[in-house]
Amino acid sequence: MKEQVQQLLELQELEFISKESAIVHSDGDADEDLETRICKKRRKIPADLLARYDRLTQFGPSIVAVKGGMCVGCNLSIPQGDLNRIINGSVEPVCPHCNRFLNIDVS
Amino acid sequence: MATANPVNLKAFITPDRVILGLETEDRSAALERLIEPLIAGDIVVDKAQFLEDLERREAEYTTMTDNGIAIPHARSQAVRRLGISVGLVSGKGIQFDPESDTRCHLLFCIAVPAFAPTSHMPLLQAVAKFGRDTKRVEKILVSKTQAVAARYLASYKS
Repeated sequence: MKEQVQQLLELQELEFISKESAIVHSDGDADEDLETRICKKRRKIPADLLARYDRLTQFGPSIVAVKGGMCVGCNLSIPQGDLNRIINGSVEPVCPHCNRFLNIDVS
Repeated sequence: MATANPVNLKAFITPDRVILGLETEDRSAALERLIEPLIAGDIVVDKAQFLEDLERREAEYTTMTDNGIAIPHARSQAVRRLGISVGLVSGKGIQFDPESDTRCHLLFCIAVPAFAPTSHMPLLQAVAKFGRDTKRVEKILVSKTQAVAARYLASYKS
């Protein structure tokens, strides 16, 4: 699951860059190469996971960090037990409150 | 993703965030100079890390526009809060995008905290809109002091 979240994180980054490029460049078009890379990345991700990612993206970033034990997406505290289970890989890295994917930097 | 709302540049740009007469032709050197006011303002905590993140972002897709404005920005763990610095380049400009012949004369460097990856979108939109207005760009490029440049930018309503 950690690898899949990593893939989603890379996809999210590419999609952010695409949006930024549309803002910065007056023609409003992102680079074709960038779009191709996004398509390729999306093809590698399982359909159900991608559907969850797309649904969450409607309300902001789908993959968020945990800061001070709090989900940055919803600003609610994640119980330490849940965090431990996420870190040791026994449960999905998902916020128990908002369902966003959590990108936890263990280091 | 939420729609970006107009932003008032006044909230972000102060005279100490403006660098006049940037004299370099090298992109990395220019970026390093642009990071300095952000470090002084306690926005960026690790210069090397942020510089690396900026270069990585540039490698993905250039942030330079056709009219010689560059808006380097990056999400980074080295950033504590959203911030921006401005560089006015003197001389013949910077070869910012190796694939373009256009020289860059105005730079806006945006520091984006990794934990708020889309927080800069309204700011980016405002700065990009400013950059598209050639008259305003010409006017800011002849600013004599940091305060004048900051005031001019701050008065801009996107």
